[in-house]
Amino acid sequence: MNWKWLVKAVTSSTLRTKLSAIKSLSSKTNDLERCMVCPNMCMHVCPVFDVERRLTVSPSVKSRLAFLHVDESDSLWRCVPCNACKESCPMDISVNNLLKGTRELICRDDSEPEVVKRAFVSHELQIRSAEKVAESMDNVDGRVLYFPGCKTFQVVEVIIATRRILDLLKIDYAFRNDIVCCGSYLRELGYLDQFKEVAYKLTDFKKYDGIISNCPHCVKTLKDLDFKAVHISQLISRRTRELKVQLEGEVVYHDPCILSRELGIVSEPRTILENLGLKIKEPSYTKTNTYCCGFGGIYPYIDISSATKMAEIRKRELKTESETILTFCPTCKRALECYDVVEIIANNL
Amino acid sequence: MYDIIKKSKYSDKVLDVLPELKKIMGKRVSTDIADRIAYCKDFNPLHLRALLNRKIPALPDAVVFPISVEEVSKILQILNSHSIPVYVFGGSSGVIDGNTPYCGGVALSTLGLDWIKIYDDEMVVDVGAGVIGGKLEHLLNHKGYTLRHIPQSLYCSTVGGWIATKASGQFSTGYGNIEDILLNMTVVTPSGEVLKGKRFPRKASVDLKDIFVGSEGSFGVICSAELMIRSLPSKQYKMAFMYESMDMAVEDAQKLLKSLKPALLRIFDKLESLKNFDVDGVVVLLIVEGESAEYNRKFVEEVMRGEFIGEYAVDKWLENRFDVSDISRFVPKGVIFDTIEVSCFWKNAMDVYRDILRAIREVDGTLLATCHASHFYEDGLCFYFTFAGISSDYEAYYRKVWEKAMDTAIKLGASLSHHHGIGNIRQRWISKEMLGYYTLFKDLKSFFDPRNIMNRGLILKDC
Repeated sequence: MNWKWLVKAVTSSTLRTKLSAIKSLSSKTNDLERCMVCPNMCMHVCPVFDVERRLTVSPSVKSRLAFLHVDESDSLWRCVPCNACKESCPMDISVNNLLKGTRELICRDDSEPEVVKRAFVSHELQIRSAEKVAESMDNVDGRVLYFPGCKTFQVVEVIIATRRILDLLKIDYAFRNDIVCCGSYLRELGYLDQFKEVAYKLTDFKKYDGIISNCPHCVKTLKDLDFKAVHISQLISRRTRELKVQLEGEVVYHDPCILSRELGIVSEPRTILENLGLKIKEPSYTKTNTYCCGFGGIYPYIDISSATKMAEIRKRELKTESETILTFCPTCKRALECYDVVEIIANNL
Repeated sequence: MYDIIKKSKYSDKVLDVLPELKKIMGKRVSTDIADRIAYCKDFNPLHLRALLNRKIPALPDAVVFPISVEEVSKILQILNSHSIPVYVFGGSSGVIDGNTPYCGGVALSTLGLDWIKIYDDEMVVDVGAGVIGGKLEHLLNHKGYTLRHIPQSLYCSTVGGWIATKASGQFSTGYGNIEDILLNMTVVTPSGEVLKGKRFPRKASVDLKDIFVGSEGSFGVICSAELMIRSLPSKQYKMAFMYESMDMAVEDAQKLLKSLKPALLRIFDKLESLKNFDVDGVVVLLIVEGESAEYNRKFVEEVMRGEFIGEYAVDKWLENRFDVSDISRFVPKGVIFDTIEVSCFWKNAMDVYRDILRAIREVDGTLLATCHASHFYEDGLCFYFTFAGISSDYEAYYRKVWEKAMDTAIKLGASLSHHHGIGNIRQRWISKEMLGYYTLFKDLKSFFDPRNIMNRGLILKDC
């Protein structure tokens, strides 16, 4: 705030008005109020709004609904953790983070909409199926933990490719088949107690020197829990040349939202692709100004049809640049039906 | 946790037509409370205050989300045949209380009309009324084009809203207002009739846009538009000058406009200059661009007598021009904010500037009032006043400021509005601006909308 300006600007007001202003301006407000009185200046980048075309799911209106406690609506869960809103907000407000607080309150009262309860069940079923896949793989001991994350178990080829790369780079890594999920989805849904249970199990990871994951959601959650976690792209970008892979051609790279915006990993994937000899085409929504694949967070559990539509929009945009779409996230890979960068490396080793 | 509005006068009628609407649109008809609250207001400051007090300004009985012109036509036919009020919503970023569903009825969202087709060879974009400006401009820029229609609400307003409110953008001095880039449009009248002409560089006789631009949803629903696009400018020069007084800056702007229309010209009064640029003076920003930019830059330097302060002020303004976070920072604390924009001729421009500022400041409760000139023409300019106030009776304070400002504008021969529109806020003065053709305006309303279903009780309250 330019105080010099403010002092000068209020000169012509009456003493009574000035005194009222001093009293009012010292009152406390919160981000929910700040967001709900904004004219929705991030609406143009909100992918959920873009797909559903309803003000009801636009960022500022969701804050309005949360402020008014319109609990019976599922609108508060119609969000992806993409943080496109935060990226364009001069107040640095993440609507998804704001809504998480309200979701937790509603879930704690057991008054969440049915669709949210069903989303919880769907997620639990996915975890069970990821555990089954994990059980088919042997435990390995090592200094650092390779933790693929539950979504990576849905695309096993990414795990196989990653392990080949880790082996080639002579990383002393551990692999465990007993814990597959970081709990981020529970936190997104608003089931805080259940998330805390998962987080408690993760404390066993403290014995490793660090954690490597393919999943940006996992890296973000583990970092939030104070683990030394890195994304696989950070490791590979420093040692791409050691892999001795040379490719050619044009590709388009899709920046996963959490990887680019939350973890700030924008240049590393590009360094890898350039060192592999690939020419990168940039779509209109790129780097920290990326566009969500639709499958991030809880959105596909809440409304698979809209999530799929979002993926289709993104895929269409990417394909105008190149037929070969690459990304660095198992969830984006599934949504966009494309390759994870680790796959193209491993396939050419 | 909020005040529930009782059933509207039209609740039962709306319930009766729901099956018919659902037959056409399936799930895209909603009576869900979240959807109704989402469509309860525009961005008028009084509504923000009400919501912070957990009061909902109004509630439609249902919301419809059409995705085609045909659907809009069918919806209007049904609602018209039952005389059910219809309130048209785009991005809901209007500030003049232009579509608040005070009578209940149905809110019609145009957001589902969201196609964008770029015709490179004709330099035209065919765009649905529900497309958000920010997305449109982003996609055009990626292809090397621009609309050069850049209102501050770009990120939250729609193409349909621009046309309905007669919008203007930050580059209007060089490229014109919405009506200047609008080549063709599709409108559905309350009877369901689809009106669409052919696109020409200039049309014969009366054009649809002569009737519908600025009609604020009174005559029908604007469904799509064909807009002129341009290549992104090859060259651009940014210049900023500092003046000792607003008078001298406005005088130079007038001289400049006699021979040149810069892409952008803005004059900030001393308070706004201090706030935006930390400068003690009146700052003038200029952008000239395109093939003749170099020549125009020299001409600007010849005409402008202010101290040249480089490009930084322009860059700073460009960087912050969409930042409206002061609203979020101060409104929840009880401050009421708003802006009032009027156009006037050069001859008494400084009277308009001083007298309207004085009128606003004289209202008890006004904390501050500032101004900048934002749009320029050969014969005049637009002044854009910003005020902030604080009062235990915020509504009375707010209405008093508007009354004083509008009365002063009318007295000095300034227009009621330059680009925000009329809505419920300015409707009581509209007959004073239209004078002899106000009855024609009402006749047009009766012709297109004999049952008065469109945006009932707003721009034409007495219909």
